[in-house]
Formats: sequence, C-alpha cells, structure tokens
Amino acid sequence: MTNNSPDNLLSHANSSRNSQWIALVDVNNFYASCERVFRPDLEGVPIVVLSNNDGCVIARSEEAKKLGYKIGDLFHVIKPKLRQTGTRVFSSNYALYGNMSDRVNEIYQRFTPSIEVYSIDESFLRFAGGGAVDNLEALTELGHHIRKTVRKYTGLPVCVGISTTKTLAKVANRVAKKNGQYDGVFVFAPDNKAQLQQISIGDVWGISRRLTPKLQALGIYSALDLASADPKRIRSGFNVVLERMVHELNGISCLTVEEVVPPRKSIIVSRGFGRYLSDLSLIQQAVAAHATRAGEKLRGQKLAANKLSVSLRTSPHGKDQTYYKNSFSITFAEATDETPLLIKAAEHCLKKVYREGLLYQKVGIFLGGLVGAQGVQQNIFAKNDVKKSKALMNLLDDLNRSHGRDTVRFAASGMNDDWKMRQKMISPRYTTRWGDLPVVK
Amino acid sequence: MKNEALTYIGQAKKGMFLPLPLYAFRIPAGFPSPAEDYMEGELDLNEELVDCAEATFFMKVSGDSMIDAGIMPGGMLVVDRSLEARHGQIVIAVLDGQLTVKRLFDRGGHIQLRPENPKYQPIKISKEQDLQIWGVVTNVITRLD
Repeated sequence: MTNNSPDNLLSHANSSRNSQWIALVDVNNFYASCERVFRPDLEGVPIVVLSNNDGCVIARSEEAKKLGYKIGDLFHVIKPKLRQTGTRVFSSNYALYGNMSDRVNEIYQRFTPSIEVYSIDESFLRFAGGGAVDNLEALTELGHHIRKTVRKYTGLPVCVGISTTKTLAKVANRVAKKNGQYDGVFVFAPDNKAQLQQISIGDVWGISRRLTPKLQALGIYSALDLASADPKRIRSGFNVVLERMVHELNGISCLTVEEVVPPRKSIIVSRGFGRYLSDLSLIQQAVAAHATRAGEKLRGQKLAANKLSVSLRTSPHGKDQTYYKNSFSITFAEATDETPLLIKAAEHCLKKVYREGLLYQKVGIFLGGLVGAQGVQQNIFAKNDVKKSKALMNLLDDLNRSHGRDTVRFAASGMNDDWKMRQKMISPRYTTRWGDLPVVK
Repeated sequence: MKNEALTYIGQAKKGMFLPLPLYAFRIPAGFPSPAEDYMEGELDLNEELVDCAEATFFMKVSGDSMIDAGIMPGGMLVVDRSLEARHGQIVIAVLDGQLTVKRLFDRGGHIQLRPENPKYQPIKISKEQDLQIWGVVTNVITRLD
C-alpha cells in the first residue's frame, strides 16, 4: 500500500484530542448514478427513476432536477415533457441498487469498522478518538480519500460530511453537497458558528415541516438559533428529542452511531420438517406457513420487503441420496408486507427449486430489501386498494394476536402471474444476473 | 500454455457456490464425503479470480476484436475497477459512450486502444481526448461449447 492508505490517514486523523468524528457519506442521486455506471453514454443526460409500478418519479439525476422534475411527479402526466427534454426514464432496479449499495458499504469498512447503514444510499462512519480543529486538514484528506475510493471502485459519486455529532455530520454533508467549491467533502468544526447561521432551521436533520413554523415562531430560524436555544426550554416546550438536537448542534454527541437502530436487513423464517418430506403439496403448506410468519414479523416492525427467497434442502447427512440444496429469489413489483403476496411469491420460488423424488428436510423463507412500510405507501398512488388491504392485514394480525396463532389463515392458493411487476423500463440487473451482464465490444 | 502437463491442484467441487455477484443461486452440490476427516474445504473460484470483490464486475464479450488475446465472442470478463490501468494491460475503456475491451498502449506520449485481431486497426487517442478507463480485465472465462 502507498502512504495514502486508509490506515495511514486514519492514524493521522485519530491522533488528537476529540473523542470521535462522525462522517455521513451518501451517494449523490443514488439510483440515477447506479444507472449511469454501466451506461457511460448517459453521462450528462437527464435521468428519472420511477417507483416500482412505474407510477411516479422517485429519483432524479442532477440534470433532471434542473429541468424541474419533482419526486412524486406522476409518470403519465410528465410523459410528454420527458420526451421533449430527452430525459431517460428507468423503472426502479432494486437488484442493481441493492448490490451497489452493498459494495459501497464494503468499501467504507476499509476506513472504519464502525458503520451505521442509515439507508440504501447513506451511512454514518465513526472514527474513534479523532482529531480536533487543528486536524481539519487530515479529516478533509480522509474525506477525499473515501470519496475517490468509492468513485474509482464503483463509479458512484459520494459526498462526505464530517463533524463531531451525527446532526452536525448531516449539516456538513449538506454543505459539501450544495457548495461545489468543496469538491464533495466538508469538515465541520463544532465551533463554526458562521456556517450554522447559514443553515435554515427547516434544513436541519430531523426538523420536520410541521415543526419548522413552531420554531420560527420562537425566533429560531437557523441551525445556530437552535444551537443557542436553552436546552431545558426546548425540552419543556417540545420534547427530549429536540433537546438532544440542541446538544448535537453544539458538538455534544447524543446520538451514537449505533443508537439509531439500523433498519433490519432481512427476516428469515426457516424450520426443519418433523420428518422428511417429498410431496410438493406438503412442502407448499410449510412454505405458506413460513411466509405467513414472515409477514407477521414484517408488519410487526412496520417494514415491507422488496425481495423474497425460498431455500430448500435435503438432509446433509442422508445416507441414501446426494445432498441437494437450492434457493430461488424474486423481486416484488413494489415492496410489500402483504401475506397473500408473500405466499404467492414463496410458492413460485418453491416450484423453481423443488425436484421430484428427493426427501427434503428443511425449507426456509428469506425476506430482503426491507424498507419502511410507510414510505412505500406514499409511493403507490396508483393503487387504490392499499388501504383496504392494510386494514385487512391489521385485522388479521389482531385476530391472530388475540386468539392465538393462525386463528385466521390464508388458504394458500395457486400461483398466478398477475402480481408480476410492471417495470417496463427496467435496466438489466448488471451485477446480479448472469444473463444481464454488461456487454463490451 | 503449450504442451506442458497440467499440474493437478485439486478438484473443484461440482456445483460450487459462487457468492459473487451477490444473490447468486446455489447450484446442486456434489456428494457426501467418504473422507470427512480429510476435508480441506472447497476451492472457491472467486478466491482465485476475484481480488477485490467490491470493485469487481463481470462482463460479457460481443465481437471478435480481441480473439488473439484469448477473448472470444461470448466470453466472460472479470473486471477489477480498483486497479490502475497500465501499459500492456487489457482494459475496459469508454469509447463514444460505449464500453469496449482493448489492450492499452501507453508509450512515448502515445495512447492507443489496440484490438488483438489483424482485422481491426488500433484506436489512437489524441491528447485532447480524455481516455476514460472503466476497469482492468483480470481474467477471461470462456465456455468450451
């Protein structure tokens, strides 16, 4: 390794007084940037990415933002303008985005073991025993090194904000993003009052649109105003969360990198059969039961899954047959927490891995690509029956809670394809499917 | 490799699990071992072919411009983005917005992307052009069928 290695930079940055530095690193226009990695011809071309059902815009490239496209714009409404402006439209390709996100987080691990994956495109990195103000230079260098490494290894552009608390790291990241002269990296000294003054209160992490006017009514217009407020008064007037924010803006860390529970990455329901099974219909029942259980877990945490896999295996110690183990995954048209859909998907996957004539010992369900169920609901304007279905799910969970498991159950039905995704403009799954690899001449 | 005998380095287990790219399928595995005590684990092709997983991508070759380098149409390339491209290496470059595989020539101030097939001419890169290297090809996998 050269003397520019992460280790070297870190020992430098870690060498002085402050107890920790926190970096917020996020990928610029993540979905659109992922689409560009394998399509260099799209450099400089406006890109929008649509929600799972091609209903509305969920992500935009910088060029598309400048053209005035907004998150939530309905696809069928903006279609003519998209054509006129030469904007490229993609259905969301979560297989690709998830894989690129994993790669980026792997790269962060080279710099520090303490990482909180905050969302698909942003992570907090903690550097213990970090430098103080006199070492801003080393931290800036570290930030640029992270940025260059991610760019080189994955082709994705990131911005890095570094400070002493999560809230300030968020502020720093915003400064890095909004001001081209910093080249994507900004280190925020905790006593940088001038910078705090420039951040309007509504742009501070965690200050909701609802909260903004209430704070403004108290004369709190900027991040600095909030930092200067009396924490006790804020606590009595609002709550302890906002009080913490005051401390955080003053460089006193209240939110540890681990504290905000990272969204669960997966849910697994897997069980061995009481005896070896070979009959597909029996295994189907098991799979349906697992899927039902997984759905309960999912809704219990207010999550929705983008991906479901089924894995099936024979006994590894079976004397009279070879060991067989296989799994199959599908990606949902949109993230779902609905049991019927999970069961259908699971049965579909099961059929892909089931081979006749074998004695199976275990089947398992894996739910991945978990996202907050709330966010999903906002994205699916197109679907009318969501509320009804949600109500049904809630009723179902309530009944099963109060009257015992499986009081009310789904009659696991056959598979049909009507739930399959409407993703007409999806790019190839370049990094997760052999048949979709990028082609070079 | 000319007429040298191949060195036997062990048998790749049938239906090996390839964890890269992520979400790869598991393929039916081989036999329960009659020699459990002598097991040394499996040979993982990724270990051999992939140095930096985060920066490694697989690509498919179309066309015959590199056949003299053993890169056949339909072959698969293992591309490592973490490596710095040097003279003489086979690289993925961006040419007119398209990804292309060529050998990089970088000597005496002249930069070229050279095909490995007499049918094609080297592509000269002028000083004004900013040659964008996407990654360095580290391995070629060709199916013999």
